[in-house]
Amino acid sequence: MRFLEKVRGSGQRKNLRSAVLAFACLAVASGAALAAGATVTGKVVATPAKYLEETVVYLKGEVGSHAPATASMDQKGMKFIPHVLAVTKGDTVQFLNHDGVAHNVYSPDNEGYNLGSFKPEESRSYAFKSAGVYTQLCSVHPEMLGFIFVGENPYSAAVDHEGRFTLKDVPPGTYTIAVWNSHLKAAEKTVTVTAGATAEVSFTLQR
Amino acid sequence: MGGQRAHPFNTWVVRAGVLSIVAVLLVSARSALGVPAFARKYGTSCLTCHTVYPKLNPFGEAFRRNGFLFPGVDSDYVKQETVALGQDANKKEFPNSVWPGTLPGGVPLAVGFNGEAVFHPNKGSGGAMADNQAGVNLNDLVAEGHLWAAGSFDDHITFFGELTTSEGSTELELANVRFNDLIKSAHALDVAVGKFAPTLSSFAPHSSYLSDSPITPLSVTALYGATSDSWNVGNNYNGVEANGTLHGRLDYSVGANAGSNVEVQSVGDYYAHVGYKFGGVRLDAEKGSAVPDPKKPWAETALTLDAFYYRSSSRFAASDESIWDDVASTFGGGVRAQWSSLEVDVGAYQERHDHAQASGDAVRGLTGFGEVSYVVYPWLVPALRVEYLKLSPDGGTTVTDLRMVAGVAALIRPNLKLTLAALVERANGAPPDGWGPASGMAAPANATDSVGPELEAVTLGLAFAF
Repeated sequence: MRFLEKVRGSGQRKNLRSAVLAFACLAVASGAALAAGATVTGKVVATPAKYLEETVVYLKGEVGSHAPATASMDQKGMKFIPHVLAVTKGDTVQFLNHDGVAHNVYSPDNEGYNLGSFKPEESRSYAFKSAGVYTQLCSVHPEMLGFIFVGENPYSAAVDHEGRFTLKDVPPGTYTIAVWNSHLKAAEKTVTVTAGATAEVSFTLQR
Repeated sequence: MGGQRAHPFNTWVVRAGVLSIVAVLLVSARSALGVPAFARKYGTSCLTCHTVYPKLNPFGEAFRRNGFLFPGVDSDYVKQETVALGQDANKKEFPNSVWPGTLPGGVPLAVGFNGEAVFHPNKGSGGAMADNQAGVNLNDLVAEGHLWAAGSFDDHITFFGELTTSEGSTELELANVRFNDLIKSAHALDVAVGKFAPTLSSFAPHSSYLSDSPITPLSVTALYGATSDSWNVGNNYNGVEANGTLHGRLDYSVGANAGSNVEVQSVGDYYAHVGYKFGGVRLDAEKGSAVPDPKKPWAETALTLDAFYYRSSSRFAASDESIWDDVASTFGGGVRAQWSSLEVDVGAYQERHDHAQASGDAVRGLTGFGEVSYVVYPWLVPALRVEYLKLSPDGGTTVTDLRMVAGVAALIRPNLKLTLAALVERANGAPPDGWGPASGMAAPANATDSVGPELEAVTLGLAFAF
């Protein structure tokens, strides 16, 4: 606003036109940059619904590039939080312990790992080099359960409590989109996205 | 064993009186096997499995037959909170991890009570005589209390238990674990371990509107003087049974149990059963098999044939405290025909006991039974039941007892029911201990005398469970 006021305050139409033109160019340029990535959104319905929270929607195959990042999964109230964490191959997950009791994190899936026993406020990390689903277990508390979904690409997301998901900044193209669930299955689908647009896909999970 | 002993014939009249409660209980469904613990587990109504409990509809029969599991994956249908005793992923760690299971979030118990008011319009009847000629007997209005436990350890292993208290005594009626789906083909091989009723039919052991047992029990040695527990086809015993359903149409069972013995002896009781269902809902209710009209979950058109063999070896005490061994071979079968809301059950079995009498002689018994019912409304089912008992002792007189029960079972609420029933009985002679041990009320004066047909009792049964 201050920029526009300054322009209006000059009283010179030529300068005003130039300023408006420059602003418009700036806006178009920034809009184009945002539009380069598309969005895929939708909803998953599960029968029975009680398994819905253990669902991840993802694009299959190698898509784009991804700089390794670090995510975290906490242990609090003798639960893994979040219950389902979606990361990308190459990412590191830091396991925290905000409980007052010792925990252990291990997974028997894929290459398997055991991070040993760690005390309250202590954390351990694990770098996921392979795509797949890793069940997170605590040998001290067998009722504890979590899942880490390691995608081949960064385009994966756990659903919310209503089954909604959003994959952001997807490069334009045609992809196979799939859904993982701890108990249920759904057929894969094909989705085509164009720059700046939002594509909607829905899934029905069942036995 | 084998010693001669006296049987004062008139003692059976006294015993008939003592056993009158047992006899009266024939008239209405005694044991309420509708188990609210299951209703809580699945968050579903009793009516999912029952018409007027304990009578099961086709889905309820399949649930029972499957070892108390829903078709498909049982846990998919569980709405009750569960405590995870490990996770599925722990299976990959076995044997370095305990195989996972679940614990019901709430205590998986249910309670129930039942009994009946007994009326004797004919005060000269055997039923009235056994009740001191009381016109109205409210002593048994609530006669039994039940404590049930039912649930699952996981998607394949389940448990069922029942404690019954009556007249100041408590009996462990049922306590068993069911290991289901032991081979890849679902329901093809289940194993039950513990105390339970042997599977001799495709249908539940309490699935009747007017009787505790669709297969009328006949305790032959009790009728000829046994003072200890007398073996019969319907009793619950400790044992092991393999059973299953093949292709949703054929079911079978093979088992062995401890039987009834006053002293410990090696297992000598074996049985087998096979049944086949034509039409209607599959025996396992798998593959979406369901009744044609969802508003009538009891109604189907089907025909089921059953046959069984049961060999028992029982050691019992006689009134003179002598110990007797008796081996019984029993063959039987039944037919259930269903045409929409109309159901007809008929069956019979013949048993031969080699040492059922005081003389050590054999006794042959023939038991026939039938029940016709029609579901008028989901809560109202009139029924007619007929039972026929025939005993032919070697060297003795053949005696028979014919009973007819006409009644109606009604739900006031899905877990609160009333039954009204009238028992008419005709007896041609009686065994030495009278018909009381076989739930009969007619009391002929001697072995060759005939009584009836006479109206023995009218009962108003009350049962509730929660």
